[in-house]
Amino acid sequence: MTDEYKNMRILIVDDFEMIRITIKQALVKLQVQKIDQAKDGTEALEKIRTQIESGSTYDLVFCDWNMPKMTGIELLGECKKHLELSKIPFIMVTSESEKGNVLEAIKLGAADYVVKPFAVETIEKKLQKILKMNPA
Amino acid sequence: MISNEEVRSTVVEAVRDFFQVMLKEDVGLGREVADQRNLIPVDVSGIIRIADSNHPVTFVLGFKQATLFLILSQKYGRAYTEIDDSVRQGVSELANIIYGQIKSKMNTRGVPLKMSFPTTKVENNHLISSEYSQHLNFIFKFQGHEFSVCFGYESI
Repeated sequence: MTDEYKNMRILIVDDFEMIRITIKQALVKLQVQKIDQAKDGTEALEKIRTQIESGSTYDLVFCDWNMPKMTGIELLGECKKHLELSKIPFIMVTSESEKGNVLEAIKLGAADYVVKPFAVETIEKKLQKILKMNPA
Repeated sequence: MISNEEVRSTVVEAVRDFFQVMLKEDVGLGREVADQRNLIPVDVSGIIRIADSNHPVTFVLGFKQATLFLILSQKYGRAYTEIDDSVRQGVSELANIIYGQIKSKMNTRGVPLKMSFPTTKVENNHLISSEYSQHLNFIFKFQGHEFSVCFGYESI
């Protein structure tokens, strides 16, 4: 395994702690060091804005679909409205492999999606895809 | 219309896939029981109930507290001693993910099962069950510890 993911800053957004932990465990195995978590879209939006204000940004957001306060698709839509947030790649996390949902997210600008349950290898493939799309 | 055997294998595969993919654990199908009263009593269950549909179904997954704590502590590396919000959420999410797989596989076979938000029930030694006429009842084994799964439906 290389350290190509080491410098990525990644935000995990999910209302379920278990899913956040599962994704975090996968990212830690891939040697990602800068990992933040948020419980819903509102908290995530705050973290994204704080990062931007501090002169940094997230390289990727793993975002659940169904969450209280602000859903994943609403968070994605909100980010796409603002130029400075719009370039952050989103990977939507869903337990429903329905094409309609996926198409809606892709239409709004999501980079990819992952269907639960997922393995570490799936997360790695998604990271590779994001790195290819946004080379350092 | 798909056969009961296809429904059966879909449910069993979905449960086993979840544990294999997300927890890296093989769970074995201990046994299948005809009568829901022969399922093992559980303390926490995650429930998906879709009544408002041409294909009403119920999916229930239940654990004894000790089994659940064993699964969670092995997965997340910390001790679990009480059924708190995170444990309840975990069980409902687990039911949601496994039912999502069942739904996806059924959809591929032309059965338009719907999704629904999961609920949980916490009560010592309760029996999981389905109100529908057809039901499949399984007892799975995780490292020697048993847990119950029930999938009920009218017609698929």
